[in-house]
This record gives sequence, C-alpha cells and structure tokens, in this order.
Amino acid sequence: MSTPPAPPTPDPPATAPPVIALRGASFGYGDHAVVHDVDLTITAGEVVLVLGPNGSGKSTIAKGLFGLTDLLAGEVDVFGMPRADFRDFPRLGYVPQRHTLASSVTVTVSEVVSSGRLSRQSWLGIATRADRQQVRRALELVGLADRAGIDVGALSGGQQRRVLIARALAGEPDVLVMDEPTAGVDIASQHGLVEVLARLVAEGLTLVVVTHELAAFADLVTRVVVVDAGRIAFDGSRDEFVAAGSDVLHDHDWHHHLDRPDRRPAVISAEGPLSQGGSRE
Amino acid sequence: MSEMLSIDFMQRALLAALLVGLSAPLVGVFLVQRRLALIGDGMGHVALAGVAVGVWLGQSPVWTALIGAVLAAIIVELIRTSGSAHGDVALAIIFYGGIAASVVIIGKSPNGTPASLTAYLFGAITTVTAADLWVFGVLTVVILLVVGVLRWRLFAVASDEEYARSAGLPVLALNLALAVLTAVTVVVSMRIVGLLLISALMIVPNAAAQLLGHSFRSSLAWAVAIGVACAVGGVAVSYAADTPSGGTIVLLAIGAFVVAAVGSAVRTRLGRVALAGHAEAEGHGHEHGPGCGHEAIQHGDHVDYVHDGHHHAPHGAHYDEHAAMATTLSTPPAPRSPTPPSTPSRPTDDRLRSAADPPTGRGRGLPRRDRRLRVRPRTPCPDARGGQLDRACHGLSLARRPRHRRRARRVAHRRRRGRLSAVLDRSPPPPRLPHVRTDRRGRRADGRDLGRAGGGRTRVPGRAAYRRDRRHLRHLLRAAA
Repeated sequence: MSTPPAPPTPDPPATAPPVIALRGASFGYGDHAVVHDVDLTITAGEVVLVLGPNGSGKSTIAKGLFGLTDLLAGEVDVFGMPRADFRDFPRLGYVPQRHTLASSVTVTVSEVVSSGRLSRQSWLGIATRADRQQVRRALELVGLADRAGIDVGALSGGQQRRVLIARALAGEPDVLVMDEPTAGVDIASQHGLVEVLARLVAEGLTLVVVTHELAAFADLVTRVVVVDAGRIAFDGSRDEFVAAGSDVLHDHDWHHHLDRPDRRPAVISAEGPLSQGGSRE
Repeated sequence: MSEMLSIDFMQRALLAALLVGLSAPLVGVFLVQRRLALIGDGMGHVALAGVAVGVWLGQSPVWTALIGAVLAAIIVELIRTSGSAHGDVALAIIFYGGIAASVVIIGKSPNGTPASLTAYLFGAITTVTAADLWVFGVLTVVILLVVGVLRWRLFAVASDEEYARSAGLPVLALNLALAVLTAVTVVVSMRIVGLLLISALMIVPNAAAQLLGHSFRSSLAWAVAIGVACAVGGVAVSYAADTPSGGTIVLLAIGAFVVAAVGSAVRTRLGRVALAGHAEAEGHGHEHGPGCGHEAIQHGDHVDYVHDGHHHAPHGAHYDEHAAMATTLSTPPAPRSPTPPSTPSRPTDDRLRSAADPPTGRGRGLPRRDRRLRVRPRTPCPDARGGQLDRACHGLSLARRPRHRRRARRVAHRRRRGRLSAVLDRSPPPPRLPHVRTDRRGRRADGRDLGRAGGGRTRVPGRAAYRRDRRHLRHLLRAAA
C-alpha cells in the first residue's frame, strides 16, 4: 500500500483515563501472529470505529481484548491493569461476531439475554430483581421486549444480532466492544440501533465498533482506526479521517459516506425503528 | 401393583429408576446443546472397564466404575479442549480401549465371564443392592445440587463458549464439571439402564422436550418429567413383561419422542398463517375509536391506541398489547386521520364497507337479507353485549336474533373463505410457531386493502382467528407471557 500518513493520535482529554491501552501488542493463534505491533489507547467516552477489509485483523484485535486470541507480544491494559489480572469482567461488554443463535435446544430470548448478567451474579447463580429489571431494560433498548418469551431460533438474523447486543447491554458495561454489529441488519434497524447506542454513549458508555460498513455509525463516531494487513494504517479523529480521504483508504470509498451524507444509503423503510425493522409480523 | 411394590428388589429398582430418570435428562440437556450427544456412550464404555476391574478384585463394581468414568471424563475433556486434530482418534482409542479391556479383564477374573457383563450393559432390575442405592442417592443429590447452582453458567458455556470466556466465566472448569457430571450419571444408571444405553436416556427425553417446551426452563422440566416417567414406567413394564429394564426404558423414551414429534407436527400443520407475539390486553372495558381520548398511532397496517403507556390494537373482541416502540425513527406518531370517504362501487363491496363510510341509511340499496349485516362498529349502541356490539342482529327483535346470528356467522364464514387465497398469500411461519389463520381484518398479507385497487377501506366483519386455530393462540400467548 502507499505510505500512510503518520498516524496522528488524537490527544485524549486530560481528565479521561484510558480504558483500553494496547502497547506494541501482537495477537494471533498459536504462534502465528495475525496482528502486529498495535498501539492503541482508548479513553472513556470515545466512540471508536475499527475499519478494515476482510481478513485485515480487526476482529483479532477485538478478541484479543478479551483474551480470545493469544497475546504474542506487547501489553494489553484494561481499565489500567494488565488484561491477565483484570477481574472486573462486567465492565467490558462484548458482542461477538456470530450469525446465528439457533441451537438444538429451545431457548427464549430472555434466557439468552439473562446470560449477560451471569458475571454480575454471586456464585450461587440466583437471579435477583435487579437482574430481571436489567434484562428487561436491555430488551426494551433493542426493541425486543415483546419477543422476550419467543424461541431465539424463530427470530430473523437481524433480530438475533439485536439479542446478542441486548445480552451485552444486560451486563451494564462501561466499555462495549461490538464485532460487526450491523452485518445482516437492515438499514432501518441499523439506525434504530445507532440511536440506542447514541443514548448510551451520552450516558457515558465507551464504544468500540469493529465493522466494514461505517455508514450507520457516521454521526456517532469520534475516532476512526483503520486496520490493514494486520497493522494500524490510520488512527485519527473523524474529521482527520475525512480529510485524509482516499490516501488512507486506497481502494475503499468509505470516506464518501462520512463526507457526503447524501451518499449514505437511503433509509428503506420509514416506519422501521428497531421494534419494527426486519421483523416478521 | 401392590404385589410389585411389596417385593424388596422392585422397591430398590423403582427408587434407582427414579434417581436415573431425574439426573440423566438434567445433565443430558447440556450435552444436546453442545452437540456432544454421544459422549455419554463413550464414558459408558470406560465405566465398563471399571466394572470389570471391580469384579476382578472382588470389590463393589460401582466404585471402580465411578473412578474409571470420572478419570475418562477428565481426560476426554482435556483432549477435546486442546483442539488437537487427532483428538477424535484419541477419543476412539480411549472408548474402545475401555470396552476391550473390560472384556479381557472379566474373562481373566475368577468369578466372572464375558456373559456376566450383560447385566451392566443393558440393565437388570434384580441387581440393585441396598448399598448401590445409597451410592446412587448421594451421587444424584450431588448432580442435582451442581446442576442447580451451575445451570445458567453451563447453559452460557454451551450456547456461546466465546462469549462465556469474554464474560470471565471459568470455561474449562465448567466443561470439566459437565464431563464429570456425565460420568457420574453414567454410573448412577449402570444398574437399571445399563452402560450401553444410558446415553439414550440423557438425550431422548431432551429431544422430546424440545418439541413440548417453549423455553430452556420449561423444556428442561419436560425432559425430567419424561425421564422419570420412562425410567419408573420402564422398570414396572420390565417386571410385568419380564424384559431387560434398560431396553424397555429406552424404548419407552423413544415412544415418548415419537408421540411428541407427531403431536407437534399435527399442531403445526393445522393452520397456515403465523401469528407471532400475540398478547391480549387485560380487563379492557373501554372501546377505542377516533376521538376516544387516547392518542392513535399508525403501527404497520393498523392503528394502536396509547392507553396508559400501553399500545392497544383492536383484535376481535379484545385488544392486543403491542410493544411501545423503543425508538421512533423519522415518522412521529401521526394522529389517525379520518377514513377517507369512498364512493360505493359494486353492491358486493358495499356489503363490506365499514360504518366509517358516508351514511347512506341503514343498508339502503342492498338486498333485504344483507341489511341486517350492515356493520356499525363504532356507533354507541344499547344492544352492546359485554362491551361489544352484537352487530349481526342489531335492531332486530329479540325473538329473531338467534336465527340471524347463526346465519350471519355462516355468511361471514363463507366470505372469509372466499378471501382465503389472499389470507394465505404470505411467507410460512418461523419454525416451531404454529400456523394460525385470521382474516387479517380485511387486509391482504402485505397490509393493502382487499378489493378495489387503492380504493376506500374495505373490511371483513369478523376479526378473530379461526375458531379451530384459537387454541394455538393460547400456546402463543403462553409463550409470549
């Protein structure tokens, strides 16, 4: 690729502590590194979009934050402590990149979402009233409150993704890492989802979104990180990303979406906030 | 029956069956969820080696089988977790090594022949000793306690291991716990069900329960109920019919599965149109309408009325609860606009018009028979029965009402049948949801009006789901609750 401009790391506000800090981190599987030498500091309140083509290593970085991929070199700090020592798991929410929740066992939506509360429960595993309230709130946030008792296997793919998001939200995370949250979700539902996330960000949620479709998040994002071939090719604020333009994204035209709102995909259905979009009647 | 209960060995056998029936489906559900349905079979093989060692040493075979099965469970789980490409082969070696060793050891032991393994392989009701029963009882209590405490964690790991690890759950420890639980269940079953057949009692009741339950919790309850019924019933049948108990129990369980499968298939076939997420508003005395004082919101193809924060949609004789939208997009809640006046075209369409059409006098221009079918749903009416207007017979003398009510029902039914092609014009329901036909309130499946293209509102008077489909609505209501 052409020489990328020196990644200008945006100065974090002096007051906000870093919630995630990667220093020279390499992630991979076994001894095969997929992502090399990543330096990334995310402070509280940021909305970071991790962009990159398929196979560039975006998801590997996201999984590395949770120890799902092996850390081969460097350091990962979460909330100011090394990842290996990090025990306050509910603060870090994860929406994995999964296409289906269907299994050979009947499971209702609320049962899946309830499993997002497990890390906040005592070892006896008894659900308290607060747990149930939080589960209901998470389901309402993603617009699935009326489907709480339905078998997840009966939901559409987009609704299942929303169930995964609700499961992460049920744990009341301070930082939410989402891996391709919009894949397979129709445009109207994406907008509903972004609205929900915007409200949570306003309440202080830090958001890291791994995606290759940035249109949906264009209004929300404060910072863009581009990963290419296992390395960070760009790291800057939203405005810097727009200004950098096609030098960064040599063979992609993502910046158009940010640059020209008129080129964002049109909303297909006007009546489709989260509670409607993609649902069967 | 009392004769059966008065025999010592039958009392013990029935108690042991109860313990097996309780514990096997409880552990099995997680194996089904993880697609490890056959792992219990393999552990049975290794437990058999333990049995053979016990017979050879002259010890109680239950203890040696327990040691063998738990060891095998731990090794198997560690091999599986390592994700090695040869893990499959390693498991096969362990399992078949177990069964081969058991045959050889028992052949060499002074007080046993390979034939004496049959009772352990397929179960025999006469073999349960009082000492066994104590061991089984303690092991079952352990299983119940561990599953009771860990069930949602085991569930989380089984349904999404990656997420469970990201949430900080001790995945390896939970997997090991499940493996040991499986091994313990295998041992509990060795007298009654047999080591070759126990896997069936872990899996088959769960398979049947998936067809009956609407959630993980309720299907687990079904599975345990089926497991207990089959195990205890199987022992009783085995005594009465003089058959090996393990085979009888498993055949009963498979029978239960077949019954459940046929029942669920019939239930699904009965209807055609899915009606998902249907919840009825409770205790609704008020009748919504334009200008009733509640805000009206367009919701898809119909209008919801905001009633104390709930969204109510008219449906037959009741109001449905529709979810309040978590977020509204670009369309703000639009107050319901008055129904556009339509010009009557053909008399057949006229018959279907609602009372919102311009008043033309009661049924003027219609055949006499049809005047009584004029629909005036929103006119305040002294004839209203229980809050709902008796539309068909409105204005008729009391003596003539029953006959006309019957006739109106027939006519409405014919009319709905005539619209059935439009009703069926939609995608099939999602899996596990029954088909329920409704008349779609006079709309096509895509929400457009029936009849004249783009014309005024045409309505079919009856709104309820077909009567023979209504019991599926009850299932759905229960699922939605």
